[in-house]
Parts: sequence; structure tokens; C-alpha cells
Amino acid sequence: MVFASGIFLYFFLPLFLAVYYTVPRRWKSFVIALFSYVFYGWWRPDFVLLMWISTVVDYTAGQRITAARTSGGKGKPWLWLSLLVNLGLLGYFKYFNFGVDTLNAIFAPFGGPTLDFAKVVLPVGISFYTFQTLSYTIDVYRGTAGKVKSFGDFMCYVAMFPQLVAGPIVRYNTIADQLHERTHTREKFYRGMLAFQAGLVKKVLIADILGELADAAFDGPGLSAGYAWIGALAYTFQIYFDFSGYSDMAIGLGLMMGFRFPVNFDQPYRSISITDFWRRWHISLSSFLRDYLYIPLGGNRKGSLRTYVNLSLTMLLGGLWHGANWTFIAWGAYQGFWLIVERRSGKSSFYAFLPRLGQIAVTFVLVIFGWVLFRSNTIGDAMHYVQAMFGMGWDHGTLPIRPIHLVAAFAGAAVLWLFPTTQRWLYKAPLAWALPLQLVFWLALIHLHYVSHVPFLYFQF
Amino acid sequence: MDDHTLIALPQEKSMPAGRRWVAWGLLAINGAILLGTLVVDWAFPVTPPQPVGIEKTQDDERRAQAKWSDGSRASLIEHDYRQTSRVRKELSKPYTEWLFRTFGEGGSSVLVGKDGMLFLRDRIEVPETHFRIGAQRTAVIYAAVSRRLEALGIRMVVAPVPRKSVVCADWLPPGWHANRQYDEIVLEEFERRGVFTVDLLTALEPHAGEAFLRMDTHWSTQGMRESAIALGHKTGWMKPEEERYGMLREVPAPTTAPLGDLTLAMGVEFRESDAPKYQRPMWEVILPNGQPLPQGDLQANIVLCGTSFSQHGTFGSFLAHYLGQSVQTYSIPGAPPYAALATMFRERLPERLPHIVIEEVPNHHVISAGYHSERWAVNPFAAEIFAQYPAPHQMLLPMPKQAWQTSAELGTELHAVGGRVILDVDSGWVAHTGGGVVELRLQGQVVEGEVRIDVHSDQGTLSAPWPAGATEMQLPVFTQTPGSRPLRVVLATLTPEARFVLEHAEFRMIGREDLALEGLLTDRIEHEQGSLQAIHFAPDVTVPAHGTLVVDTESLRPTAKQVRVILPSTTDEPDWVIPLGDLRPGAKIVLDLGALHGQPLPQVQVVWEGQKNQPIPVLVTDARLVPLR
Repeated sequence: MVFASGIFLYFFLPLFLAVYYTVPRRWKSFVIALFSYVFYGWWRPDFVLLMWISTVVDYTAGQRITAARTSGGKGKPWLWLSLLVNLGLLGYFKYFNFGVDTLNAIFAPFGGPTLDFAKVVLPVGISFYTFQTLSYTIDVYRGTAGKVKSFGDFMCYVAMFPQLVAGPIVRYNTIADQLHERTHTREKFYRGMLAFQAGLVKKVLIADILGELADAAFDGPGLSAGYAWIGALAYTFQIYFDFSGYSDMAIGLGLMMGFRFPVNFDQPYRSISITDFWRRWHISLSSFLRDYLYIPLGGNRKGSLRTYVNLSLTMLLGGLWHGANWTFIAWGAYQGFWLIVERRSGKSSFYAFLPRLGQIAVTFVLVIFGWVLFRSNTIGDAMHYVQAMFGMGWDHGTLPIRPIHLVAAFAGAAVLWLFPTTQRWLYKAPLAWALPLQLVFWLALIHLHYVSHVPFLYFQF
Repeated sequence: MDDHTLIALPQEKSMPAGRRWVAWGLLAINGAILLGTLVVDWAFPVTPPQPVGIEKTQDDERRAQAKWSDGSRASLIEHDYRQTSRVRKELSKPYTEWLFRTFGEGGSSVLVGKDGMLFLRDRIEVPETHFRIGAQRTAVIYAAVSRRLEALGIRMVVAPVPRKSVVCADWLPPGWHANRQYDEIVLEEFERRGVFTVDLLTALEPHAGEAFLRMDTHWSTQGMRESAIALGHKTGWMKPEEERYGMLREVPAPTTAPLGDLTLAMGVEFRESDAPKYQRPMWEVILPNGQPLPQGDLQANIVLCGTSFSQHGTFGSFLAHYLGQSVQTYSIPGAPPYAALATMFRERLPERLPHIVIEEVPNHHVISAGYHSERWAVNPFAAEIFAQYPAPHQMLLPMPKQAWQTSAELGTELHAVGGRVILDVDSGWVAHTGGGVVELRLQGQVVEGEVRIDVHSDQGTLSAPWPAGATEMQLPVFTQTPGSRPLRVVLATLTPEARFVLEHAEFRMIGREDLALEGLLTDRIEHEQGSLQAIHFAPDVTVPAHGTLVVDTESLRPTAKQVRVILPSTTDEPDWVIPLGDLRPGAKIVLDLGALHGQPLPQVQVVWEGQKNQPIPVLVTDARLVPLR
């Protein structure tokens, strides 16, 4: 189920809220879990089983590790079991097709045998919930979090529908207390509603409209330089408004249920360097990778060379996490490259001498080139697209730009560079924001009636 | 990578009382919107559009196959909710109107071009890989229909209507491509199959801005008029000014409906101002006394069969004017090709045969035949014509017995549940150019139930119900070219089970054997690619409409490899080479030479590859050019 659908908005959400606020406190987490299974299983009920496997394995691992610790042990085998199951599921469902295709591509030129196999269907959001369940077991193993108090709470943590399929990645130790004890107030609910509305507006009125241009640019014939830049810019806007819109909606729904989720975006297109960008973009993923991959690899504690290797590895795997395609790996490598360059120059960019506005502009352009890699279907397509951006493309096509695209682009630019982020608005929730937001939210609802179903970009990851 | 933080919130009850009331108000309003939508949609659902025909079948299938396990059931529920949502229906209309008038938005199905010219998106966004297949598939069927009509004494002229986006390509918004070549290929394929075709594309292009209505998928009266003129010139049937039927006059207002089917498709109300000035004046044909031109009757020698482009008899009246005689119009808007033709046959045959049939077919139908094959493969109307109106002159094409792989024992009662293969003919026994040049005649009878005969060949399946009480049926075979799949005939049951007796099957072709012109054969001569035999015709022989070349080959010989028929060109054009693949002993070559209609045919060459150990001294034993009438 997607948030931007009639079934969710007019059936699921009212019903859920009605039940949630009717049942006693001790049942609330269970109600969240139950509705989350319906939400997740709406399109593929069988994939709920996978989530249950993850839930049961990690719940058991957490209990056993705690039990082992009280008897003087560490419970390492249980940590390994969790890693094996979670990464095994992720590896099979997300990377099996990619692995076999890559092997076939390697052996085919030498006349080697081709592996025929039935394509594995990717369960939506598996990357998000496996990371969440892993974080629980690892935190319990490290002792940074205690074991969960009840299985119902853990079911709720793993399956919680607001952030289940597209984040933010909520680590167990950040939400452990809230799972057991959280407050439900009308002010919280009101702010949750505003966040949800802001997210839906971002998604429906900006991301989806500009997405048409991005699709035409990346899936169509070659473009002239100007149009190639417009297409890349359209995708740069689309991915931010789509993903941050989803995060806003998740945060908003969380607040309606009494939860405070982590901030996931902090004006990333105002970054002054790529290092700064990664402090502001998909914060829940970057901090996860830092704490569960970069630091365990040694972080920056083992000399410069090792730091660069660790950074590269972290960003490569971060790229691969987004999808089983060489373009994502290349995108990770591209980001890793700039992080290394900046680390060599003392964590600041090589253009740090520019005024702040200039640094933001250069970083923004570097980010755009990254998104070209990210959006292209193949590395070859990405190279052709970059060539087109420099006026060296084979074709000189145009894009079907319509007035509505310009309106969405100007609105998007204003939100990006003139206004505070949703979470900052949310703190004070001034009427100067809340009242106009209602109008555009209602417009978004009508627009949703008008357009057909458009899924979220981050579902595929 | 910095520390993550949870979303920050102020202390509870930090909101001033006044703002808190506004907040509760907004919560209440939004709650009412969500719940209100739910209640209104539940209490006052919209009756969804009821699919008909193929769409209904597909919808029924989709519903029957919907499962929870793969998301199809969920998807169906969401689809149904959208279809029945009252709120959606009531809000979408004014919103669409606002989007269109404010931003020039055409929605998911309509594209807004320059100067407000509207286009239907799915007629522009044609899958690149399939457009030729559609043209080929349609061409072979039209060739078969055309041949059948020719044999009945009716000249058929096909007028493919180019897509609006091609004629009005200059009005497309940036980033959209007309793909003119798709429409050119339709003409090319039709002509290659000997279908008499009028090129309306080049006729309409000089009048691009005026040929199509701005907010409609259809052509304007100006477009119809130019098309009628082009048809008159191409056929040579254009009458001089004084012999024309009725008078042409300008009409001050664009009164010809429909004017705005694209605005309808968007859900936008059509306004008079949406028709620009350059689409006025419109045209109409009237009698000298000012009365409207009478629509043609059953006595009319010319019939126009078509779709919505021929609706209201307006195109027909222009044709009548320029061709100087009454034209009767059979138009079925939205129907596939041949539907109007089949209606005409039902009404007029056999007593009141027209002399000329003008078939108007929109190119988007032709092109989409390549990727909507399930819709096209049935061809119910074409099949009806083939099955129910046999041509008067037929020639038997006797084939060696081993050509037939008869799965059914002839003369015995066959029990079929669902369907069963009854005949297979491998490639190499009958080499032909398709387009109905070879027909399959089946004799038999239905003992119990109802059956349908499916003839599968490369260009699609022709399915025709066996008429009740009939003892024989004759259906064209479309293509059996080198490398093609064997011709397969399947008995499909229309009732749960059926019993059928197949008594006889044979190949036939439509043609006047008594008027056939024999060709003189040369002996085998060495050729750079093997061996060659030439067939000579008298110098004054020209190819008649749908003239057929029938070549018998030696039966006591090994299989001839890589056989090709070469028709040497008498103009600057390259020779026409027809590859036929390998030919088995006694095989027939049957070629439709309709594409060369009117051209001299001094010589035909048959070339085959030599075999060192088993040379074939003579391949061709007899050859003749067979006219249809």
C-alpha cells in the first residue's frame, strides 16, 4: 500500500487511527503491528512471512544474547545467526538476479554456460527492515540497548508501517523507550498531521510532476546540453521531494502514534561540501553505515590509507544497498571519491576558498552528476548522459516541458532554498505555514484523484 | 556523517490557546474531509463504465484471475475504488478544467500542443519495435479481402487516414516526435501486397493546420475534401467540374460534429472559442436547390466503408461530389477495420453489388495491430467475409499427398473438447506470398455442438465459426514463407465439446483458369547462384489486378534449395526478388503480382541452388498468369 493512494488515505488511515485510539495502551503496539502487516501484505501477503522470519530470529537472538551475557558469555553465535539470516535474505532477494546476470555476462564472451533461472522478486522495503532488525541484535550484543520488553513491542518495531518500506531507518536504541512508553497528545497529533500533509504535497505536487520530465530525460532519446541539464535537475528535485516527502509523511504518522522518529533530511542541497551533504542527506542511512560499518572497519583510527579504504568500502556498500545495479555501485564510488578528496584536504572541499554561495553551487553541481549515475539504467547510459550535458551527445532531442513543470520547479526551488525544513516548521507550527499548507494539501488530494497511481521512488531500494 | 537526532518538539501545551483552537479546527476539517470522502464514496458510488466486446472479455478474465498472492486482487480493488469514487468524479472535472485552462494540461491521455492543438497520446507513443508488424499484418488481410472483392467484380480502394500527430507534426510540443515513417510504412506495405492504396498523408500535409480539428482526433471538412480530391486523382475517377455531383459551398461555422472528442477525453467542456478561426470556413456539399446532398442508397455504385472518420456521411458527400455519383456510407465509429465492410456485405450481397468499395482505415488501427495482436488476431469481420462469401472463380491447387499431415482421420467422427489440431502443412510444399492468394477449403459437417476453425500462419490466426448446417468452408492462408512455422488448422469448440467430421481438405486459389496465360519455359541454364529457368510471356502481357503467377514444379526430384523468384524490373526500380526457401518435390509456387498491376511482365526467373550429388535438371514444369476477371 502507498500513502498517496485512496485506499490508504480514505480507508486504512481513518480505520487505523480509530482502532489505535480506542484500544487500551497495552494493545497499541500490537494494533500497529497488525495494521502494518495488512499494509505490507496488501500487494504481496507472502512477503509478510519474510518479515516474520526476520522478527522471530532477531527477537530470539536478542533474548539469547542477553541470557548469555548474564551467564558470563557474549552470545556471539546468536549475533552471527542474525547476520546470516538478515543478510542472507537481503542477499538472496535483492542481489541474486544481479549476481547471476553478472556471472553470465562474464562467462558469455568465452562461450561459457549460461545460468537460466527464475527471476527473484524483490520484497518492498526489505533493505529497510533488515537493517532495523540487525541494528537491534547488534545494539543488544554491544550492550548499547537492552533486550526488548515484549514480543509485541518488537513486532511493532520491525513492522511499523509509517517507515517500513522507505525509511527513515529507525535504529532500535533510538526508539526502545518509546516502544514501551510514549505520550499521545493532541498537539503531537496536530504536528503529525502537518508533517504528513507537507510530505504528501512534496510528493504529489512537486516530485511526481517533475518526475515526468526526469523520466523523459533518462528513458528517452539523447538530449541537447540544455535539456540534459534540465532533465538532471528535474531528477535532482524529484528524488529529494519524493524521498524527503515520504520521510515527512512517516515522521508525521509516527507523531500521530506518539513516536518521535529521527530526522532524515536537513536541507541537503544547501551543503557546502560532499562531506556536509552526507550529514544532511538520508541521515538515518549514513549514520547507520557509519556506526555499523565504517567504525567497525576501523574508521579513521588506523591511518590515512586505511581510512580511505574504509570510506570507499562504506560508500560502495551504501551504493549497493540502494539497488543491485552497477550504476548504484558507481554512484557509491563517486561519493566515496569526493569524501576521500575532502578528507585529504582536512574535511573541507577543494573549493572551500569560494564564498559560501559558491561552495553550495559547486556542491550542488557535484551532487547532480551523482544523481545522473544513480538514475541512469546502465553505466553506459550515464556516460552518454554526461556527454550530452557537455554538448557532446549524439542526439539533440528536447524535453516536453509544460507550464506545470515550471510551476513545480519554482515551488520546489523556493522550498529548497528559501524556506526552513519541515522539522523546523514543525517545532513552532506557525499559522503562516499551517494555513497555506492546508490549501496545497487539499490541492494535492484533488490532484491525487486526478492522476493515476504513482509509487514512491524509494520503494525499490 | 554526523549524529542522527530525533524530531524536535516543544514542550506540551506550549501552543497559545488561540492557535490551539485553530489547530483543533484544522484537525476537525481534515478528519471530516477524509471521513466525508469515505462516506460519500460509499453512499453514492458512481456506476463505472461497462466494458463491452473484447474489453469486457479482458476485464472478466482479469477479475477471474485476480489473486491476493500476487497483488492483482489489491490492484483490482484500488482500480474499482477509483472507478466508483463519487468524490473523485465530482472533483476531477472542475480540476481538469482548471488545469487545462490555466496550465494547458491535458491529463494522462491527451497531449496539448502548440496553439492549443490536442493529440491523443497513445497514437503518438507507438512501441518502436512493433509498428511494421501491424502494417504487414493488416496488409495481408486487406490483400485477401481485396482479392476476394476483385473476384466478385468489386474494385477496392483503401484510404489509410494518417495520424493527426504526423500531419500536424509542427504543432507537437517540444520533445515529441511524429514518427512519420510509421505511416509511410503502412502505405509501403499495402502497396507491396497489391492493395490499391491512396496516399492521404502527402495529400493532407500541405494543409496541415486545417486538415484536422484542433480539439478532436478527427479530420476537418477541409481534410475530408482534400482526401476526396486525392482519391479522385489517384484512381483516375475524378470528374470534371461540370459532371460533379452537387455543389461545394463554404459554411460559416464549424458545425460538423464531433468537434471536441479530445476535450471530452480530458473531461473538459468544449467551448465555441476552442475552434480557431483557421478551421473556418468549413465545407459542405449541397444540391443546386440548396438541399443537402442525399445519402447514397442501396443502388449506389460506390460504397464508403469506414470508421468515425466517415461518420455522418460528410466524407462520403465529398467523394460523391468529386467522383460524380452517389456514395453510400457504412460507418461504424470505433470499430476495427472490416467491421463496416462486413456490414455492407450483409446488407448488399449478393443482389446489389457495388462496383467500388472505398475502405477508410485510420493508421492508428493499422499500427496498433502490431502490439494489440490479441485484438487483431480474431478478425471476426474479415473471417465472416471469407467464410460466408466465397468467390465465384476458383482453381484447385493439387498438392502431393505427403504435404498433408492429417491429425484427424478423414471421414470419421472427431470428438473435440476445447480444441484439437486437424491438419498441418509443413513449409516447402506451397510457397506463396500470402494475402489470400492461397485458400484452404475444408469439407465436413458438425455432428454435435458448435465449432470454429482456426487457421494459424505467420501473420496471425484467422478464426471463423463453422456456419450452422454448412458442409464446407474456405479461408485464406496468410503467409507461409521461408522459415515460417507450418500451417496449422485447429478445430476449436465453441460449446464445451463438439463432434465434427472432416471429409476433405484442399488448397484452392481464386482465379479464372479459363483466362490463364501460359508462360513459355526455358531449359535449365547455369546461374551464378546455381540454376535458373526463365518463364516468358507475350510482350503485350501486363499484370492484371491481383494477377497470380502459378508455377508447378517437378515431382520426381530432390528438394530444391534456396529457391527464389526474380521479377526483372522494367523501370529503374531494382528487380523484385521473392525468396521461397526450400521446395519439396511437386511443390507449388503461387505469387500475387498485384503490386505490379498494369506493368508489363516479359519474363520471370526461377533460381535455385545446385546440388553436386543430386542435380535437378528441371524444376519448373508449368507456369501461368491467372487473372481474377
